[in-house]
Amino acid sequence: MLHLRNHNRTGATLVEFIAAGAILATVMSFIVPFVSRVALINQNVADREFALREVQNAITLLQTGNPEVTLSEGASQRLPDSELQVQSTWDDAAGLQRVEVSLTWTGQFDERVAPVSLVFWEAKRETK
Amino acid sequence: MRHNAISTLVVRRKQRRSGWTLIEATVVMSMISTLMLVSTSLIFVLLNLDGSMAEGTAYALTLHRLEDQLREDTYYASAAESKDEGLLISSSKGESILYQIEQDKVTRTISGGVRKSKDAFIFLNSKPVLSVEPQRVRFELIPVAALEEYQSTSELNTKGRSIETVLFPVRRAGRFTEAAKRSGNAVTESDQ
Repeated sequence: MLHLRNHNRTGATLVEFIAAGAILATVMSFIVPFVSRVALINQNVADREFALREVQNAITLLQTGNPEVTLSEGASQRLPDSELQVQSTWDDAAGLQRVEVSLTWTGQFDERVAPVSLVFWEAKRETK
Repeated sequence: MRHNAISTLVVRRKQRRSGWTLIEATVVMSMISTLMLVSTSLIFVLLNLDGSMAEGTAYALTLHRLEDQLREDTYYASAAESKDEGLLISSSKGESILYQIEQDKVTRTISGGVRKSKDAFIFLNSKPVLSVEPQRVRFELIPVAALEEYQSTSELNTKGRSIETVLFPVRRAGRFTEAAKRSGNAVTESDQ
């Protein structure tokens, strides 16, 4: 007697394929913005590091006797609408001058980013 | 008997679907091709991102390393002068520290004192420039090539590399000593 073909399922149905595709598409839709986000964070970190170096350069200019500090050529290209601020306060009791240099700029979504700041103390006799 | 069995099998096969319709096959193939397209582009974006991040990290670390060395050397310097597109620093410890530039490489060599060393810093696709200004040393890294490669990752909104500038004050370590010498006052280590 001939053996008749088994009635058990041997492959996937169309509904199963569609369900699997929908799940994969959902996962992809989460991953793609996540990758973009990682790239954006990486760029922000690099920008802040660049800004920190600019602030340090400004401190060097102040410490070497330049009364006016300016940002470098690269800073205006990389950090749009960048603004450098220098604030000095005297502590007469300690005979020290506290100088705070901060830099802020406009981020990728047209927002003002949190400023990058460095502070140094200068002795009175040194400034004289 | 045998003839009856075969005819029964033929009838059963005709009654049962043995494959997919054209529409089902088209739907499945279009879904698979769409997913392949998206995943392939995602892999390329990830590879691109990985490459640019690795290169950026190596660049930043090399710059940090050179910055630390140069800051310390200029801080304790007694004099600094330009030499063959490089920089020659005479340290207060009696050593000569020479920074030489060859294309994208900066070499630091210490000689003349007790310790001797040589170190290299490589900045791919950038031109290092060292110049001496009054009371300070200027170090610049100017991107020279492959800017288009960096901008090819514009789908991720990454920017091209810009000019990096670092300033180093010279002879900062001896500023109080000199001031004290001028005024005739003694200066202790704690003052410095």
